[in-house]
Amino acid sequence: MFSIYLLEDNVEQQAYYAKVIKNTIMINDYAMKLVCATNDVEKLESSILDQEQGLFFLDMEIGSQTDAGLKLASKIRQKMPFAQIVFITTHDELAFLTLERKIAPLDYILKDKTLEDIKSKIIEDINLARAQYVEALYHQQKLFGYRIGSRYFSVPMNELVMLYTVKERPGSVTMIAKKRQAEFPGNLNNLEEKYTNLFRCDKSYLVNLDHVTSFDAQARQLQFNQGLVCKVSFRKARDLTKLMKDRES
Amino acid sequence: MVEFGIGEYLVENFALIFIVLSTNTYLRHDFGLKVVALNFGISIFCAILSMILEDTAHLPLVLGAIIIEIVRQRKLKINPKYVNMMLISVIIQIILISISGYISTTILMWANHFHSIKALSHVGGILVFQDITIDLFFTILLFIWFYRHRVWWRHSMNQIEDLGLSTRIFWMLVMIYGSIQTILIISDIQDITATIQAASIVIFMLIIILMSWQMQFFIKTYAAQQNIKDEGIRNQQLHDYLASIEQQYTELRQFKHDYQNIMLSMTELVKHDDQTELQEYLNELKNKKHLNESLSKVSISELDHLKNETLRGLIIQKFFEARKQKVELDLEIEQDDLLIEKQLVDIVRIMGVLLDNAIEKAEEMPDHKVSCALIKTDDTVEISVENSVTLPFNLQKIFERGYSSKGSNRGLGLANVKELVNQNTNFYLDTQLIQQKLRITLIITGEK
Repeated sequence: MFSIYLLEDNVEQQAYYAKVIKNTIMINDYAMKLVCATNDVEKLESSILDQEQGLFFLDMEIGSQTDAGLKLASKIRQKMPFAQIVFITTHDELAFLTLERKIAPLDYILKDKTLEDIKSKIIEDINLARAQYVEALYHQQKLFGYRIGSRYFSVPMNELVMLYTVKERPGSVTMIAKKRQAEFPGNLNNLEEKYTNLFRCDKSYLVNLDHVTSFDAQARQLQFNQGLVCKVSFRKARDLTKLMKDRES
Repeated sequence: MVEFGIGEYLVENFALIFIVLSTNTYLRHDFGLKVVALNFGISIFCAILSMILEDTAHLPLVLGAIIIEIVRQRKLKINPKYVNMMLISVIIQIILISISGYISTTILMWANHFHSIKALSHVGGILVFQDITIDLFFTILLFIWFYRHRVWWRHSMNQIEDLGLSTRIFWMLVMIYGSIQTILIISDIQDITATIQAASIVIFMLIIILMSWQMQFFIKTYAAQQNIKDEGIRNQQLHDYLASIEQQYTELRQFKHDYQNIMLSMTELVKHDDQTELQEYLNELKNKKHLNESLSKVSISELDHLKNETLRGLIIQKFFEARKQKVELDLEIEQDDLLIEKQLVDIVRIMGVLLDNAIEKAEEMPDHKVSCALIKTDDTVEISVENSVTLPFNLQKIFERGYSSKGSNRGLGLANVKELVNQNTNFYLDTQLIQQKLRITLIITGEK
């Protein structure tokens, strides 16, 4: 059962949103449940079930606390990395970029719109969250995680293309994902051990073979999307040829 | 004069040129197997060439560096940063080898009880070997000195470039190189004794030291002068900024005035319990422009949370540059006071390039918007800059030297960012493409 949570301090609005959520679940016959609709941050926090997934509709401003929703969202993210968070707020209070970096929410619902707009947004977000949930269930979505200082980051494993090191930056690994490129402290030996689905094709490259477009065994070169290439060491070339054959069959 | 055999001559020149090239590579921080191999090849070539050029054996290096820069930058009026480094390496090596030459001659004469320099020709092989060893020793000392002072070195290099003094320094170095070369050539032609040549080189060195000292003083003064100029511009910008805030305040007061009027009339209507008119009034109120529009946000109102004077100056400057291009720069600082203490010079440079690039790109995008956020969690600071881009967008290419989505000569900025990030081990870049937005984040760890 997929859980939905709602935090909103205005009682009328809370009742309205709750009704929209319940109706959407009922009409579509989704295996979802509105676990908690409250105006109290602590109440919501204690009601969070021990699940991997969940959809949260959070009001940014609770009472006089302008960042109550944001603080709660940070906590939820820590507990539940896959949680989907939607902020309900007025436009002026928003620091979009900060929110994106800290929480990476699923969506924002702006209160300055009409009730009808808000309703359709809520429905849209429930459908979106469900679609992602179903996707994750089928594909056993894995995450590639890394840490920089006190910040944790993650990228879906199916988007990771390669990890490599360069001699200009010892002790640091560069990651290339489909739409992201990042550096973080680490070393390939440890990563190779931790993520066994990745292939070490050279002493400075660890690659995701799902993104390979072709392998030139003669030149010992792997081709990826967007014109990325990487060398394959002599020792690994044979293993790779075999692996690629297995994949094809 | 000491007469060498061809073999010794070749070996000596090869070693010297190789040391020059190594010094140059060291100053440029790009040591690697490939570069060393390349240096090796060039050294062999130049050593053979030096059979013809004799005293001016280093000339091909200088000319080569100039030609390479012209080709790389695709224009005649080059930024001579790298040529300057080559010139510095050449001058340093000419001086070092001269000094090593005298030291090794003296040692050999003393050790073998020779009375004339001519006699040294018999031990040419040892002499060459000794020359190179002493020179290498000095060079390694120099490397160590540079390593200890690398932060200072990098900053003065950056400062020279920021102040646009590269070309001046280039001509100064060319003159020093020219005169030192002249001394060598003339003393060779005239068969001047080693003692006199040594004396002239020593005098020359003293002049160079004096000149560098003066140069440093000059750079400092120039920087101070530039600072005053910038301060004036900043003051003007701050003034404009205050004026725009005042304008917003007036708007707000107007709104409050309207609001109070509406409240009064509505209270009257409620008192008379006039439902239809109340409804009409409510509708009218809903259509009021001020209520539906979100407040025009003072986009850098959170600037006050930032406690670094230099960073603040940079953001104000970029805010107004952006405004001039009709681009809105939006700043988010969630923390009440954010202070970055370490590596500020590099952070300012990186942020400057990121904002410049974003503003330039935002100019041609329909939203005309750049967002910038500074976020601090525990000891980690994140600086994000975001702008829209045209799709499809190749994320892998943007940090390559010379690449730019806006044609040639523009791609240097982000490549420099990469270089600066590589020089600071606690800097990390995170580049994301989210729908239509490019977001580049600099993450700095170890900030308390």
